[in-house]
Amino acid sequence: MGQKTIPLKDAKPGMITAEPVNDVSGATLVREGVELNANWITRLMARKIDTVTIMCEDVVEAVSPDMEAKFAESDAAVDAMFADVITSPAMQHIAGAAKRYKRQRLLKPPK
Amino acid sequence: MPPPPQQPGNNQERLKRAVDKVVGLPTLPAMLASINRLMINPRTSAKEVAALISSDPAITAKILRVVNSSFYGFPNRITTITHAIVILGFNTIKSIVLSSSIFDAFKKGAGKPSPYNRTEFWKHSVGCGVACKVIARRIGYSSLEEFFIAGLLHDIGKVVMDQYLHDDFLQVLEIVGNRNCLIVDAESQHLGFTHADIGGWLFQKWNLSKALIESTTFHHNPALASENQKPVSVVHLADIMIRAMGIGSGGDARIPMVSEAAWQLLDIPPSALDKLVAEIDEEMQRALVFLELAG
Repeated sequence: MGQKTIPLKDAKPGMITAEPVNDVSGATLVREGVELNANWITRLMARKIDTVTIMCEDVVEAVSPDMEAKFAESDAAVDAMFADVITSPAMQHIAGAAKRYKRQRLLKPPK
Repeated sequence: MPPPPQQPGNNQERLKRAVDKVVGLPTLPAMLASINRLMINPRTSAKEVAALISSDPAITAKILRVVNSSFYGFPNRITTITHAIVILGFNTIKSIVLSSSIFDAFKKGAGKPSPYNRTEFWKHSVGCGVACKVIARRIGYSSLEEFFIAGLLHDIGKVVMDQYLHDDFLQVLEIVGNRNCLIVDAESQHLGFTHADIGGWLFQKWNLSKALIESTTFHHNPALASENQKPVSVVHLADIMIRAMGIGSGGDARIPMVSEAAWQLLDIPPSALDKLVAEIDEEMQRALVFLELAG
């Protein structure tokens, strides 16, 4: 999952904040991870907020079949590690983050 | 497969019998005890602490190496211990002395051949320290150095066991290899105590802080901590996240279940996990200087 900053006027109900929305004094109006609804968007507009950073699907670039195979192998290793605990919603989230992290490392290996 | 046989007696008795077998354990480093004594006095100056530390050239060199690393990221070079204390504070310097002394005591093993991979162990430990720091910052703690040290040392009981309860630890590793289970589960079932108990016992023996004792003893079960549940929960989650990221290895290939109580207490939104993981990865590069201390 990625994130992008968009003008508030383009925000739609159902979008999830990826960062807290703060007013000019630094006070948090909306925490990160909150699903925006029409009411929230109207209230943020009234507080003169210009932009919000929201969660979005990563732009999936075409990868080679070889990389696809490496992704599958990496995902399978995470699945094996989490096999006993994957019934927990929290562990599902952590496993998801681990898979995305490992895919990123395959795409951009550390120097 | 049936569970391995347990030794008789309750867990506390088994732990006591085990630690009675530990002979020749390093004492709390004299330097650390002296720093503690000085720090109890509110009138102690940075110069006095610096004079004490500077009397040990090896520790002085290590502190200067760490404080000048990108982990702390100061733009100008710090060349004296007094300067380091003024900039980083007594507690940070004490933490560096503590971790450096523990690395010295446990980095090489006791000369007995062991299949336990210390390099991967220290990498896991440094990673857990970094993850603790990142999670603690996310939930608003300011004493990030203490969290780093708590994560860095959470599994110290494993190297104590490898070094001083070697035969027991070898049996545990064999069970882990055969059953593909967690070290902590193999220890509980086979020995009746765990590396977390041993680490907590060591830190109690060394009279270290209650927070450090609890984060070490209860990192697999934070709900049992009496005073520091939230900080212990940070170490618990950090251990799980660093395993999930595959940074280093604590010696097993499974992942423990996150405590529901800890997850609720920390209240980290799932949408924040990717960002936390990215921060851990970035800070890990800067924390590699600690691996040099352990090397």
